[in-house]
Amino acid sequence: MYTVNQLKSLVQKDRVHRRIYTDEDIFNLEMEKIFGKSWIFVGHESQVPDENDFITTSLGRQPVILVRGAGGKLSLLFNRCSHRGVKLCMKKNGSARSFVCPYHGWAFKNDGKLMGTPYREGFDDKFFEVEDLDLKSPPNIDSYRGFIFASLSEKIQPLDEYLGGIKSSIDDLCDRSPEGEISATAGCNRYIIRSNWKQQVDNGVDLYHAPFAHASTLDQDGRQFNRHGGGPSFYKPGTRKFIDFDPMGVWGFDNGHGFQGAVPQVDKPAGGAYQELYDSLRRKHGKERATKILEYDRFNTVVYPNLTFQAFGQHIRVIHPISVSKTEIRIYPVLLKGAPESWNREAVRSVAATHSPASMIQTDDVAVFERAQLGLQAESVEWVYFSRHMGAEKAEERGGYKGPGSSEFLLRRQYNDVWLKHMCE
Amino acid sequence: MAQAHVRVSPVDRKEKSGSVDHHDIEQFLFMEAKLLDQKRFNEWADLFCEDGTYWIPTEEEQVDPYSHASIIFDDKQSMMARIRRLGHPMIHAQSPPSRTTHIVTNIMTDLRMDKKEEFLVDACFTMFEYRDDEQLMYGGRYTYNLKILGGLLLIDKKIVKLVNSDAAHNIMAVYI
Repeated sequence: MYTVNQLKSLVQKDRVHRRIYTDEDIFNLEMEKIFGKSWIFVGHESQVPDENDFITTSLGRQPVILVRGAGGKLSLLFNRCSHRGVKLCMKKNGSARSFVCPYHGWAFKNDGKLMGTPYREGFDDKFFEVEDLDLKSPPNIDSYRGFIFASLSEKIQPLDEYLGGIKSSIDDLCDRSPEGEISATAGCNRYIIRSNWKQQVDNGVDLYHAPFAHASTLDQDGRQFNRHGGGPSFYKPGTRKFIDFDPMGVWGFDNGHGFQGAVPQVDKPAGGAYQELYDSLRRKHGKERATKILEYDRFNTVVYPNLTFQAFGQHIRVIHPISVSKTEIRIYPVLLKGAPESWNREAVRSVAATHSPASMIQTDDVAVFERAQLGLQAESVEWVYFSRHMGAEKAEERGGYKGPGSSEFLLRRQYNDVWLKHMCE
Repeated sequence: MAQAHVRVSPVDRKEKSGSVDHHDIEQFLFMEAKLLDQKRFNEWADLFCEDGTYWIPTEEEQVDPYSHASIIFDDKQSMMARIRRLGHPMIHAQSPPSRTTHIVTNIMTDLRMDKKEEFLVDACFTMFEYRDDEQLMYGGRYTYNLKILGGLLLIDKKIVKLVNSDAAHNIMAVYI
């Protein structure tokens, strides 16, 4: 086990020790402290639209059921019978008023209340009085614009406050829908990264890697992909020279959240479904606001520690740590409610090209994360550096900080201000 | 049996007059698998019609690649982009490159289509993929819509139904 002083020695202003990616004890502590003391994204309201709908997922490593009970109330239940610990529900999703244990038939209402124990007479009556045998729940669950988070910590600040400045990214995504709502009901792409979960978080707002990690996907215009005739390009117009990332900016907020500025687009999206979407937003909000909503003024967003998403690539990505060197990623295509069907259909298809396990972009990131895990086995070399643009970030009037686009300040803040703080608590 | 003057294999350019039979279709599928194993991706792409598609869905009962997440859904254009990338020196997902062996079996051919020049084919496959000291195995069913166009037998649709399509997969860079 690590003492506070040992933990502190692993994180310095501009660097972290390799052991935070490779040591099992650190990983176990992270599950308790980082995943125990943050708000963790557990699902989207659209995945449980009606009473009795549920999905099963995990909170950190812990199996949970997200269920919509009577009156639409959301609960998150540990997926574990209170009797002998058997996992109650094996389905990925469905509708259920109750969950019954396959072992001895103990039955629980979908709000967690114990409602049946067969052959009850064999137990002392006092046992049921003294023990709390309802299904347990994390103490906090709340949602923001359909994004559901739960926390294992009783004392955590309210979700709204915890998200703080990064709510603007969730708003940016949801506002694109003419109904102001998204849905995550178009299935899921799952892939395994044979690396520590933080590789994916570290990459969340990294613009600096694109010319190298993604060289094989850039077309002759420097574009990785194209949507509705528009697409960000990594080349300066008319050249094969890489753009300067710094003017794009990167933003960071309390609790480790942040987003990247937009990569300049070669062409603006136009025509067909884009025009239709623009028109319905214009009818609702007026011309100026509709134009503003559809602008891509940011690229990736990270909600620390387990959620990233993109309005341009129209997906939500959820990070599920499995072990110190294994992580599962789930990618959900995002549908904009009320958008033209063809817009959403194109978005779903586009996610297969950019973020599936066989996608042309994500696979190179994963290959690099896995190579980091391999390289970090070199015990004789201790440090991993996050020293780009040290001290260049400036406080923003609206809260948070802004740094040059290739700045690594968000990582410095995540490790020093959030990771180390929680780990030492 | 469809009557046609057909080149069964655009690679071997072997001409066959008369009807396409089960044996021809078997040979076509074996050759397709061999092109993938030999990384002759451009020649493999030539087996597809101009509006042909290659699809790996994520769900067993999935009806289309536009309403639900897919692992791959390529038309000819994205197929060519993927193949160009497979030849790029900085494709990290192929460093080191994969070696594969496809085994295609249980081939069932429906030659009694309404249109005489289209065939439905159902087959089973396994693919061994070896890369960076690790061997992976994929298995499932292939369904093909094959067509005779301009005297060539071509793939209109290839669907790869993995038995573990909804699993969390290791990254995949080559076609299954």
